Amino acid sequence: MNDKIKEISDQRRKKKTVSMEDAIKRAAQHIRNVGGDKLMEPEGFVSGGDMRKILEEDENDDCHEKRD
Amino acid sequence: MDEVNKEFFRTNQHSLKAKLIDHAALSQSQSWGLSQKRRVDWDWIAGYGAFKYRYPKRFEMALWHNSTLVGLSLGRPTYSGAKLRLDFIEGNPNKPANVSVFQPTFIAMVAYAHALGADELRVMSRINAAVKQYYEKFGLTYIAKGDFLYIKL
Repeated sequence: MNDKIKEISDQRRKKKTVSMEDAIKRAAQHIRNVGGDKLMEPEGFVSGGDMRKILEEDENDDCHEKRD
Repeated sequence: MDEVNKEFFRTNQHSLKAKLIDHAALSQSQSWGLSQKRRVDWDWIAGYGAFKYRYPKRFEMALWHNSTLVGLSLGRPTYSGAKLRLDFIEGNPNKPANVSVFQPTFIAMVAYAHALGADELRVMSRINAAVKQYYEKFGLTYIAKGDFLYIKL
């Protein structure tokens, strides 16, 4: 059990030591590694749900962030 | 957005600029509706207004290529803050073919996820098979139950 706690603690410590700049560089490197920088985006690129649904939701409900 | 823009500069993408969504961006987005290539009828002015009101911790980005708005995106962290969702992303239907909207958005989301302490990105509702396949090439995995793609950071 103690080993598991130590492992989680180490992982969290490791995460915190990564700067935002490093996180961004790693993301950019990931894109290059998978060849994403050479991919053409589909024409009319778009994704997402029905934007109108946001407008239809009850504007008085302030608890939307709890709905995940 | 400063760190994201630094990355654009570092990788010689000098014409790209990431900003928060503002009046200028929303104003330009209105012209997208005139394009035959557009696949959705989203009203970004109304949609952004409602999203902004509901999700104060939202992710948002307006991507500019010189003086042209080439993309808008909106997302939000999950309630626990462990995941960052991308709820809406749209490229300018008339943007140059060699300008990607998702790549800079991915980088900006990683930056925001890092700030939040989130360890997963989710792309919600992928619209069609071509877009799903495009996301999968970036290493995202599709989950049919829930209709989203995700990647662990």
